[in-house]
Amino acid sequence: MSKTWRPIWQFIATLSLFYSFTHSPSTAQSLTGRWVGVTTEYDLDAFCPLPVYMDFNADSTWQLGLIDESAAPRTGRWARLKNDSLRFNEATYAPELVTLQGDRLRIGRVQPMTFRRFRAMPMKRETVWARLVGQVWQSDSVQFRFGADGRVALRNRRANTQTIHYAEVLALAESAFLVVRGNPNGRAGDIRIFWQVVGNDVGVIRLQNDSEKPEILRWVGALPANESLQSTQFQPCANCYGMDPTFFAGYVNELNKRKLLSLFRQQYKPVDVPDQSGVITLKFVRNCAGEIGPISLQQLDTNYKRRPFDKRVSDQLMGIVRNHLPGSLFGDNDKAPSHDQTVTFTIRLVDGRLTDLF
Amino acid sequence: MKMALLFALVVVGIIAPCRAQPGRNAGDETLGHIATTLWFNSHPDQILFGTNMRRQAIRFDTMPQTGENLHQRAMFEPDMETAIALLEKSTQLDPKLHNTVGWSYLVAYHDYPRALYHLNAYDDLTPNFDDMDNMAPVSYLKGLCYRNMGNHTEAMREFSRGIDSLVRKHGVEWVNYKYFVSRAISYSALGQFDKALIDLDLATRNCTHDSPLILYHKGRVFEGQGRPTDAKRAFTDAKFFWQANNAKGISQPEDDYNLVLEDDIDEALKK
Repeated sequence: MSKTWRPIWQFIATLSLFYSFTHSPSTAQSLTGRWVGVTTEYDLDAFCPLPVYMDFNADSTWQLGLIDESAAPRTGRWARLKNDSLRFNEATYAPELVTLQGDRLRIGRVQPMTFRRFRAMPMKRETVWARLVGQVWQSDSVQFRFGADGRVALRNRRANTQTIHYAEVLALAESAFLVVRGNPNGRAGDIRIFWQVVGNDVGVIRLQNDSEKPEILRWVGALPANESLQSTQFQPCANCYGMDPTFFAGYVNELNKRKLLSLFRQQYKPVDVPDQSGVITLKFVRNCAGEIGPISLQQLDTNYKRRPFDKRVSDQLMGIVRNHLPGSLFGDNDKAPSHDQTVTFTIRLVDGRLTDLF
Repeated sequence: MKMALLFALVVVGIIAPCRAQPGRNAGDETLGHIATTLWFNSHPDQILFGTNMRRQAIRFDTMPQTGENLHQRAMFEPDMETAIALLEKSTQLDPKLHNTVGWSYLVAYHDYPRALYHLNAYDDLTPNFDDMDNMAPVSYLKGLCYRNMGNHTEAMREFSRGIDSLVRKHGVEWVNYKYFVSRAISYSALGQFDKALIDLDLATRNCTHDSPLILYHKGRVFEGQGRPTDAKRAFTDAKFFWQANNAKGISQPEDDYNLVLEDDIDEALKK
């Protein structure tokens, strides 16, 4: 290339680069189409499946619907405003709150929600379901034991523990989605797994969640006919605490604190051992069936430094929770009895005697 | 920490009713919850009080270690040992925080000697004994500490300091009726029923609604005076207004420091 032409080529390259920046498809244009929910990040360690689809249609209509269509979709309009903000869901989202990376859409910072672009993969849900029911399938980490009645045991292959839920295959725009939800007590409840079925081959079912790499389920064999699917340990009814109004939890109202104090005063026998003063915080989950999960204790001395109490003190307190806590204690103020409750309260002890509960 | 949980309930209070309206099925509730969360995500900040406890804790960790920041950070700390250490350190960096830290010990931890230590430290730092930083004179909070430690004589003295300072500054009609109830309880515990009744009358005058709290304590004073008929009438009125206030949507119980629940009124009526 001669020196004469170099500035001209440089000018053309710069111009095309500038053009590509200024005339690339805007966020609004790229948003058009159907999106499928992936997760809601309720907190740093609380990610929950987001079982919805969201449509940004070319005719400016917007729709948010549940994957199982159990509720009428929310509808409205969407628009890109002059300052590049987006308007939908009766709210205005500043440009930095809606980020698009390839086929991944992330909305918000308070409890960020992630969506992926929906790609239709025509598949009959009945066909997929027929392959799952009464069979055992497994991925690298989880074994799915599908019962004939719709129940499914999710077995952690490393820990060899299992929880019980209900499975179904739902259809959305001729595509099939494997949904695992609920708990041993029923199908009703929040969703634990929500994956699109993207491949249905011999001995292998491919499921797509967020990542580009699909989750691969391999066929293991038929579920033994006489196997009764049961949890191997305490199972909360909710699969995701973020969806549960008691997530913030642990709060015991004043009436119940007083009932608890009265119960502990009746049941607790003072322990005559020196140096048994301080506070013990008890925390546990009581599931919707009234079962109490593992109880965690934080034991502190009078200066709020960690210390172990005599086991006759700590075991007695846990025993009272396990054996004497009436089911009705937390029922009176509970608007959603099908939900789990996380209960936290602290007991103050002076010389092995119980003096306060807060 | 417990304080954070209390604030969290405010948000739950906003969200939960949206989700539990009669006639809505579970799907409506779920979609409503998701739409609400999506709506919250139009908020520009990374925080929304009552949500994101762990995320907010980390946010405070990255901020300068001022007393105020450490104090706020303690509110998002679930581990009591760490939370208490943060509270104590916050008062070293900013001694004015002795007041709110004392209040935290009083309300959230029921550690009355520690609360008193911090409230005294705050009182010593400020030029007037009746300094108000939050909602109550420090003397009033000290009175509550003494009362919870069983020292009603000292409690009554501190309540009076708080109340008298407000009367001098603003007039008796501007004193919160709950302060008079607190002092009446201490008078009553000391057997000074006439003074207790005067305080409860002053409380009645300053309260803008019919208060089961005042009526219940009047009943208790009448009992102490050996007037069972008057006591019964006061308890009956307390029960009536408890239910009436519920119907009107008035938040009950009225006072976390002087907790009177419907159960207490029922118990008193049974006697």
